[in-house]
Amino acid sequence: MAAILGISAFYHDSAAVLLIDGEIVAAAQEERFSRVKNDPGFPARAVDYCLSEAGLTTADLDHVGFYDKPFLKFERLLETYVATAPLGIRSFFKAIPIWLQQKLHLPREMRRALGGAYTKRFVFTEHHESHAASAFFPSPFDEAAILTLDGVGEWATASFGVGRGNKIELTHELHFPHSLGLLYSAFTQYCGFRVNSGEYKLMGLAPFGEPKFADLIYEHLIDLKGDGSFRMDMSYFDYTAGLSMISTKFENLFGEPRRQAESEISEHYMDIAASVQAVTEEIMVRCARHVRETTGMNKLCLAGGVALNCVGNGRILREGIFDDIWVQPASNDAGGALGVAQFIWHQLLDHSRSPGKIDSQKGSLLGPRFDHESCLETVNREGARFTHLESEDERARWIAERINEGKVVGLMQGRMEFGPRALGSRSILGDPRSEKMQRLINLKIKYRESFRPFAPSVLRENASEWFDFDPNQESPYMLLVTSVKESRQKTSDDRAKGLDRLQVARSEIPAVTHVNQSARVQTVDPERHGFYYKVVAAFEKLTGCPLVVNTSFNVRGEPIVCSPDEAYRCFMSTEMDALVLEDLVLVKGDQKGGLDD
Amino acid sequence: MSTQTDSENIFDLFSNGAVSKRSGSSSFYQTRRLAMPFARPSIAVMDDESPRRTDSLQKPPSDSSAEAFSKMAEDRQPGFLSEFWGFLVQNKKWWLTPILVILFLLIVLVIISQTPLAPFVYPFF
Repeated sequence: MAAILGISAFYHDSAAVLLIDGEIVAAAQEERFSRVKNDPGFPARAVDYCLSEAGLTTADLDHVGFYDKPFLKFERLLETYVATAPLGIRSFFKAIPIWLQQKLHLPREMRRALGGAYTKRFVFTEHHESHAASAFFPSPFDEAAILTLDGVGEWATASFGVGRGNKIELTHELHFPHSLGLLYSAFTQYCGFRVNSGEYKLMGLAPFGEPKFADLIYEHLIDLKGDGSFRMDMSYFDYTAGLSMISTKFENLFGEPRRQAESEISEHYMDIAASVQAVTEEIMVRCARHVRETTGMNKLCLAGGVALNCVGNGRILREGIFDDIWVQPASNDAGGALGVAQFIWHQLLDHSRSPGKIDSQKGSLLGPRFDHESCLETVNREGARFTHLESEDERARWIAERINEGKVVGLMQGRMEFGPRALGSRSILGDPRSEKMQRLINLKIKYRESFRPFAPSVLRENASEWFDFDPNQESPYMLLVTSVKESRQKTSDDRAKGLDRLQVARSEIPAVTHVNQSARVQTVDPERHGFYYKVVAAFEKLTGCPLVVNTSFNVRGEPIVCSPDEAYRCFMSTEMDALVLEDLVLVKGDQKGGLDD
Repeated sequence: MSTQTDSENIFDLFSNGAVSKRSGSSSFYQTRRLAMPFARPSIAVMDDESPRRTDSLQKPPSDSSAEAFSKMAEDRQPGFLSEFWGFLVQNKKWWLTPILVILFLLIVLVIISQTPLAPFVYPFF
């Protein structure tokens, strides 16, 4: 038996992954345990969980890998400070002590955090190599092109190459400071959202605006080539030397100052979001075309933070550049932990790889599961009233009935998802046919901006009847955006502007139809999704509608819930109507101490 | 496809005129450098491959290189200074040396100033 632990840590989204003889046994992000969103610390709890899942201790580990190369990154930092001196002096004095104390001594730090029981050498792969490995090795492809796009690793901000059998080979890359991820983050900051977590909001805001500033971006900010490579005019940005993403020149160019967080979102910022989204999609498409031409491959694997831009992914698919694409569900830095572990197993230890019809990511359901006893302990301790529904079919029917009644149901069952998306194990579910559901969940349950869209979980076999999907196409990880089928759309009132467009029902399933008729689809199948498939199937049987609203089980600013305790607390502190903890079901009206009391 | 070489200097990379000059190059992609699996790329199995070479990445490792990797992974972790020295040598980043020496001296100074030896530091200024 060979046990390999992959670690990503010390920047953001730290995570741990355990492989046993090449199989992904466990994977989890530290934030789910520590309850600190995007936790950058060493993933001690995630490591503990991974080892406990396999019944191992750190002394049993054969290899431990870290997802990037600290010395190369340090070199980039120093070169950046030299190139921008003296402007970067504040940033220098903020960053260097942490590097000297901790980040340059990762073997020591990690050995200490692992309790000193691991005595072998640590393996360090390059950041984009880790992303590339996480994109190709779990994919269902024998061979494929690989494209990685993110903020920055060591020097690389994007890379591409080829994966064949059990090897990957990256051949080309773009270098810092020219970065699609950082360009998107700069606009995220300009629009008043937090860098590294607000990018989804910017993507969700984009359809409300018009890409009026796209030409301005091409003209002043980037020199984009036909092959998707580009350079940025760094006088508009401040991230190389300062503590901000954008400079005053950037704000002057767009004619308005950066939006203050939580202030009203004007049309200007919607147009800005639409513009940078259009530019991002154009770059992604050009990169994909170039990768296709250069590698000659007809399938593509994607990873890196930018690969979470599911609108861009959907565009690549629709353009027909590749016959098929596979996107790593944990495309953020958490996925680097998986990448380094798989790189060690396949590339360095030379173990073969046999891709099947379905990818080897196991539905990305790789986190902890809490059994009946754990859930029972929670509800008993809290004095909650519950019903025990042992039969899966009965439980699925119960959930479907509640959704059909217009109730909002929190579902915590099975193994927790690895990656930023809730895929039916830690999800909040609702009726997609309801016109008020989006506003209700956003404002009364998740306490977040009203404009943010929700995704549909649709039975795989029915996806092409409701969305512009090829009948063979699947999207089990909610990483592709497509349009609601035209026959399901309703004539919309085009006079509405800005957030008023939310008031218009645009299709038969308004709760999951964004203002531009798009939807971020998750296809659900019995092989990957088990009980969750039964829930959606039960809803279909009851209503004829084979999809439900699926959003992550958390409130704004908090990580997705992990344990029954957290699920119960979230249930009681919001206006959620019902909660399912494995085989226990709870109704809000039966409880004491909720918001109503 | 044309690719840029490693010859561009760091000041070009941070030039503020990237757009106003509008590069005549048809591509900004760079050929990838060789990656090494440990923090310091001084592994016997890969010694013959410089990280600065500009052709494509390493060939798939043979059985023997997988064995060599396993063997090297059993070794003790090299010390920090040894690793960093290997990094400088491998990447020929000699110009970083004075910066690192100054940083190192500053750290030593800070450490000494917090010990009973602090009064003896003043004569250096």
